[in-house]
Amino acid sequence: MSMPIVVKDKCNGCGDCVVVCPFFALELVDNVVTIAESCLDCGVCVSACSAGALVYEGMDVTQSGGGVWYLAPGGDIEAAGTARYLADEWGKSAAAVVFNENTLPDSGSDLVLVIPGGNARALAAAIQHEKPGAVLAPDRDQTRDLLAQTAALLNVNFFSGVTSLQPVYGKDSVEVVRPIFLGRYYVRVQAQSAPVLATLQKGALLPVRAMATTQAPRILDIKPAVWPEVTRQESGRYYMPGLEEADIILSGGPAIGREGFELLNAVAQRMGAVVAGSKEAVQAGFLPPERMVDASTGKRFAPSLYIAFGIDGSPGHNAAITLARTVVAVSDRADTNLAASADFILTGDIRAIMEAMLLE
Amino acid sequence: MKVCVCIKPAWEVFDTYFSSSRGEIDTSAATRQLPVAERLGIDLASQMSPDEIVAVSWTDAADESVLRQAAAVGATRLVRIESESPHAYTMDPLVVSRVLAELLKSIGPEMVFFGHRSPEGGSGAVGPMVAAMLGYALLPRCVRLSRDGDLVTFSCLEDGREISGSARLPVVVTVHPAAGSPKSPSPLGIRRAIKAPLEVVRIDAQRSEVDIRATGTNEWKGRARQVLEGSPAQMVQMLKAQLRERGAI
Repeated sequence: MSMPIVVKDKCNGCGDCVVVCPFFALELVDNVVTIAESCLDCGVCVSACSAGALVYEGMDVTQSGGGVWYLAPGGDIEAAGTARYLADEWGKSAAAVVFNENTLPDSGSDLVLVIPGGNARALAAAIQHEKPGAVLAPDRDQTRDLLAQTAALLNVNFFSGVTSLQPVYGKDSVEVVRPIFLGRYYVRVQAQSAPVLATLQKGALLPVRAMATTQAPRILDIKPAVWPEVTRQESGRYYMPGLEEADIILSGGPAIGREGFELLNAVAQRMGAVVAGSKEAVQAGFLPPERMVDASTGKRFAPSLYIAFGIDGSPGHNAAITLARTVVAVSDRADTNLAASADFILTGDIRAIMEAMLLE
Repeated sequence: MKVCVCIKPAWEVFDTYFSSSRGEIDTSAATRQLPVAERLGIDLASQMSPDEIVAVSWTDAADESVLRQAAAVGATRLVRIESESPHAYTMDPLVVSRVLAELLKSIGPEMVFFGHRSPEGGSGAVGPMVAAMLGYALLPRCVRLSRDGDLVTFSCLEDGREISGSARLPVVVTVHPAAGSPKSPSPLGIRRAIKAPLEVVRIDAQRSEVDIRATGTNEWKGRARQVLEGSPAQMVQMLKAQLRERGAI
């Protein structure tokens, strides 16, 4: 990377860049910033400058040329299918981005880019250098934080939790759909700036086509970026999200009994789901009150998948799940209230169906 | 030490409805509240022994009561940002972050608290964006926090796992609702909040580059009611295939 350059006409002499420079490489001369040789190209000043007076030469992110990138931390290729689709539509390449040479994905991309450091500053510098048209990632906490910070440094739009993504023909842009108001509504938006940074939910993650990467991984020459240090370690504890945040809810009625709830917990752990219950199941003491699915609590839930085991479907229960994207009723009979308003109905021995789910 | 808590007043989501004739979300029957995560943010901020807790919000004068709610639970200074406000639910996190970062630069806090994500936009991007713009360390989705001098120790949630760690001030903290139950305001706090002075700061927002094409509702319109038949294993196989096709798993 080269040193930032000063666009003298735009510099208003505010001194914001001078204050943030960790290397004391900037000073104001006649109310215009100057950069000394001690500059280590960390880029902090570029993002601090609200006047746009500090830029990297020849790095216009609106001229996207480097194809579609997808983040593949740990070799994970979940977003590869969507990146490939978009790259094919734009006639460009799909590249996997990793932060460590030891975690290379084995398929799904034309090339693999290694960005040492793996923080937002390093990713932003790599994007400025290579100019991809879009950077995609699966919608996870870590990727969301990383792309949001990268978007802020680049002053470009970021879309999180995207459920659908389509190219805009004639433009290197995309139209995305994302949920708002706890998933009750959606908004369809088009990015006007490039590159497009987005994290993708399940609906927007297309199947990955098996294809071998044809080139050796390319390690981008990005100097170690100065970035606030945060030490982290896993505590080994797991957290079950509240029902409002849950993406998949498995819910039981009193008929499945205590053993049924134990089995349900095992299935939920396997599916990454949250366990809940009907009002009757909570009243029977199988679950704490905060796990109750009933409109009388004043709460309604909007998971992408709700599977009810042995729940007949009282009006209160059914009202609480009207926002669920897909409802599955598992029962020993097909004439329940819930079955009348479910997407899929499975009838038979509930325990045997749970056990079959556990084996899947 | 100066601490800021950034507040996004949140609509009571289930009091809103989609007006198909106007093609927009009707919030006329809904009220705006101080969200739980922001209330927990004020509680955590109070535990950091700050000299001042500044509650900051970019909101209309009509929603000023939300800032007063913040004063009732511990904020000692209230600042309302006045700007050309985009439509509430189209809020662009980049635009919001720029405006907040500009104000925060002038206040100069050592800790900035945000709610993890708002019920409306739900992008969870403003806290991380502001951290990047200010060059502060980001401690996302915190459930526990303590401070010893300029060393902040935290526990946070990440995709269902608990992570613990530390960072040096200055930091941006986003607070997860699992951080606990927020404190209720005391009668004294409520009296103080009613009389608290409220500063209004005008900041010009940059124009959003997000072009809203349409909004719609995900409300249930009728289900497929497809009966899957066979042995338990066969039914589960069929269900799995259907759910995959719908993008539900």
